[in-house]
Amino acid sequence: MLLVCSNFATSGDYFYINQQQGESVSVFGRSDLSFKTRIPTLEGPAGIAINPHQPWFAVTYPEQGLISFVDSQKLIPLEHISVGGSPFGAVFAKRYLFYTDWSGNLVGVIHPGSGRIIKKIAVGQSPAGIATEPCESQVWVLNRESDSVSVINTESLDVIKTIRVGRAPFALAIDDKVAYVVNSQSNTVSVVDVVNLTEIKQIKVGRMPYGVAIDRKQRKVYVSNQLENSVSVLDAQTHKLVHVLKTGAYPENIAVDEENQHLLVLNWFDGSLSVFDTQTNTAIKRINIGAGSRAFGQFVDQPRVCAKP
Amino acid sequence: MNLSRLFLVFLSIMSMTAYAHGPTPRKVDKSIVIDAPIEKVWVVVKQFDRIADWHPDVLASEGDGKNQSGSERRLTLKTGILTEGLDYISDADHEYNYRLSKENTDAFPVSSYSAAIQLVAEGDKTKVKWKSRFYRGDTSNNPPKRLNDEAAVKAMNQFVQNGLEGLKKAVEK
Repeated sequence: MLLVCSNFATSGDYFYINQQQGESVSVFGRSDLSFKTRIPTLEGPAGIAINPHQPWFAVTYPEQGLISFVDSQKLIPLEHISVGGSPFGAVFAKRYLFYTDWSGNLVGVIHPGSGRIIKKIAVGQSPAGIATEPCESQVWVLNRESDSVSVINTESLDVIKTIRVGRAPFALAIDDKVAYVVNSQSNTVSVVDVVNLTEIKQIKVGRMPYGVAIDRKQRKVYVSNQLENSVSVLDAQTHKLVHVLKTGAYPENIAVDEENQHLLVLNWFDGSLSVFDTQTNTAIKRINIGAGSRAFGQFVDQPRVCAKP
Repeated sequence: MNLSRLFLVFLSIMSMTAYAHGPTPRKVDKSIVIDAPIEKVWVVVKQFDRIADWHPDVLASEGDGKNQSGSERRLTLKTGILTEGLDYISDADHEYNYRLSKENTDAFPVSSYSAAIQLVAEGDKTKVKWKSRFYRGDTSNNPPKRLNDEAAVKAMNQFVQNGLEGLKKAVEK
């Protein structure tokens, strides 16, 4: 079935890790977990966003005020766009790339085809994590220093609601019904209703939670606890803690590869990536990824299944 | 929207990348072996607010005397005062985590950090492991030399190294 490959975005075959203390993105095979290649970038890539509809992904450079687009099939850099400020988190939704500007307290909206910034939307202070729900009708932005979430409508490009959460929200993952927001200084995860846009509850996790990922297949939520060298595994139905996984030092960015049943945890301090089997909750591999590695954002492609007609 | 409309311009931008190093977190990871059993070392180390007893760079330190998770300590350095919060302490694991609560880059050229000290028994000796993750003093895109990555790495390395040596001296004396 070669035909499938020609019109299907194959961001699907790889996952990507930025070499923030360097000038490249490392590419790994999702199924065999092997190192494939290194794509040259500019200096200090931090954030990453995979386009689920098109064969490219974006990388942010907070230090340089730049964003790169990278071809996810040919694995070559395509274009660098100067946006200014400190672009950090990023996500593709609808026709645009949305990014958080950590120092500018805003979300920029880029039209990838032209490379133009079409709008800058004021949000709270120090916006970090950014994500969209499966239908891409909203983009959620975490304002770390304002303890809040800004919800942006992807049609009108306006903030439609600001939701208060715990202290220093940093990363999030959104399902079709609820969003999980990591409150790094409250040691909790906020469960927020995506329809009513209200916080339902906060769940206690480990010390200094940093990243969160949803596994829709296994109905689990994973939270990396930066200062506990662990991952809290929550039941997505009951929101109860069901398991704790031991990781390397300073587990930070985290992503679920549902297709291959892998949980990927970036151990920042060790420069390694822990891979767990999501069915058995067992460690299956530890990959050396180098010092200063970072992948802030959804660094493995996750299909967005919109339930609405 | 198709790929052909994305174009290659990276040569023109490469030239402007030479100087800056991202607001990239940095780390220090050091250890020392002390010729004393673990409990003897832990009794000294666990008193979070009494770091001045053994750290040569800390002129004075004060806290609430409880040294529990949530406790704070104030360190007086030659250059000024730093306030740090204790996040977690475990007698069983001989470990604690703490972080900078209030930045004071005049006193110490690091804008934020978390750190962990852990003791591991090695026979009747003790290995003290001290690690920290931190950001430079000025995280904007053009930090002055005094507050850049190099300054932060140097200061943090020195603080941890001097601390480990001071601790060894204090316990072994």
